[in-house]
This record gives sequence, structure tokens and C-alpha cells, in this order.
Amino acid sequence: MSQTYSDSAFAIRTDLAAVHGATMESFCAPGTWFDAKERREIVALSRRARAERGFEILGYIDEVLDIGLPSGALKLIDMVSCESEKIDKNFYLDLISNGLLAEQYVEIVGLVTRAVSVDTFCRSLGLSMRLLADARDGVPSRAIPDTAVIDHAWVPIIPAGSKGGAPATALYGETDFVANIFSALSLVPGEASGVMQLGQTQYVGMNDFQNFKFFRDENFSRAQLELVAARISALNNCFY
Amino acid sequence: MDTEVEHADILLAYADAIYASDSDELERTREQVHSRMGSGATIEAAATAANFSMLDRVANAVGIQIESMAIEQTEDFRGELGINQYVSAANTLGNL
Repeated sequence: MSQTYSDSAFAIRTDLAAVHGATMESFCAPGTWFDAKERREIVALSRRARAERGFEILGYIDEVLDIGLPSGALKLIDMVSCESEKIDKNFYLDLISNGLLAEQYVEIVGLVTRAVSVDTFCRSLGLSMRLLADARDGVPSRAIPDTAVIDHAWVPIIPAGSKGGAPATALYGETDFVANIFSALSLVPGEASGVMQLGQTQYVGMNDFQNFKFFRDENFSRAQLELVAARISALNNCFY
Repeated sequence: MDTEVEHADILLAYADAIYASDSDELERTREQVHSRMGSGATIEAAATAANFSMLDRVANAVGIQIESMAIEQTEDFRGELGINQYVSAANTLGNL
């Protein structure tokens, strides 16, 4: 059993434990627009926001260090963590007009949503939250994909295929189609990649997306998987 | 609504308990899934819930539209289920 879930009574898949372990490590490593201390703080603040609003996190420990983040970042962390169903385009434009970069917006969304994912998995199986590591040294790369455009989201995305050029190939591979959800955070490829890795390990791999007989456990069919997915999405008021 | 999916009742109850914040109910529904479907299925149900807790927030937060091919395919039941009333529906329906 992986170190990540060595305390679990459930025999958690090795690939699932590995991607969750990598996700936790990524929170404490330098990113694209935030350094490791800031990224760690964003995750800790998301957990605090959820704990204070009644979203149960088993074994909750406040790991916020109060290093200070811009008010727009704090507002975004809170909304994505607890009330994402109320976010509209005006909310996004207001934060951007008040100084938050679109790239920073995307990186925060990636960090918060991936933290929610790991925390939800732990709570679902009765496991305490995984603690954050110490922040690592290093500086944000501040790399901007030169083919990112406004297309099917408020934020710029890297289109698949030739329009996306080298950044598209690096992120999606050689393909002309990528689901909108997986290009959603492509303005910050590291976050988009993190979401895709979790998605393909927790849900269905790209190659099996149209395989309606797909299953990872013989007692959990694709129909049962989609039923749980649809229920959670309905509870989150998610049209997509 | 009859989903015609085996064990739908306990899977839906487990999903509801994962979303809510009642640890007793979560433990009870998890044990139901575990005893009737096994530990592997329990892990996969938890992983699915974790995944959509992430993807739903991504979709809501950056305003992505659903793929054009899915708009027609879902038209007949979106209204019936109230999905067109979600705030995030405007990201797709507002651009048609």
C-alpha cells in the first residue's frame, strides 16, 4: 500500500494513491504564478473556508500561516471552495478589473479544486485530511502559453490541434479534440495537467471515455459511476 | 425517478452524504455500499465523487460551455430536471 494511504482500511489502488500523493506534493512546490508558500497557503485557506462553512474535513488541522494574499485571491478561494455554483462572469471580471491576473485566477481555481478532490476522497472513506508538507524553494515560472485565446470559457484556453501549436501538443498530445473541461485551466498548463491526471485516475481515461462497458472494479459499472457523477454534479448545480 | 441502475438507492444516498456534512450518515451509507457492493466499489464511488467535486467547481469557476454536440442531446431532460435554471447554464445557453 502506498505511503499516501497507509492508514486506510481500504486497499486503495496504487495509481490513485500515487496521483493523490503527487497532488499533495504539488501544493507545496513553486507554481506558475505563485511560489510554494503562496500555493500552500491557498490550499490551507480553502480548507479553513470549508471547515468554517460546515463542509466537514475529517481530522481538520488549520495550516494557514497568514502570509498575506491579495483580497481578490481570498475572495476567489472562498467562492470556489464553498459557493462555486454562484460564480458568474461578472464575478470573474470584477476580480480581474481589481488587479488579479487571469493566470492567477486559473492557478487558484486549479489548486482549490484539486484540494477539494483529495479532501473529498479522504472524507468519503473515513480518512483524515492529508497534511501539507513544508513549502519548497523556487520561483514561479510565469510562463504564458502563446497560443491561448478566449474561446469556450471566460478565461483564455489553449485550443486543441494546430491552432494550439506547441503548447497544445505538450499538454494534450497529438489530438484535434479535447473536452472543454480539460482545456478549462490550460492557461496554466501545470494546473490543467494536474486536473487531467486526477480526472483520468479517479474517473475514466481519455481512451475509455466512449467505452460504456468500462469499469475498474467488477462491482462498479460505468452506469453506476455515471449515476454518482450526475448526483454530485446536480448537488453542485453544475450545468456542464 | 427510476434510474434502472443496480444499487442506485444506496449509491445516491452515499453521494448525498458525501456532499452533506453529517458524518454519521456518511458512515452509515458507506457501510451500506461496502456491505452490498464490496470495498472496490466503495473506493470507486468515493473516487468518482471526489472527481466531480473538482470538475464541477472548475466548470463553474471558469464559465466553460458544454460541447455543441451535447446541447441537442440533453435538451429533452434539462428543462424537466431544472438544470437550465443553474447560474452556470448561462455560460452555454447565453451563447447560443
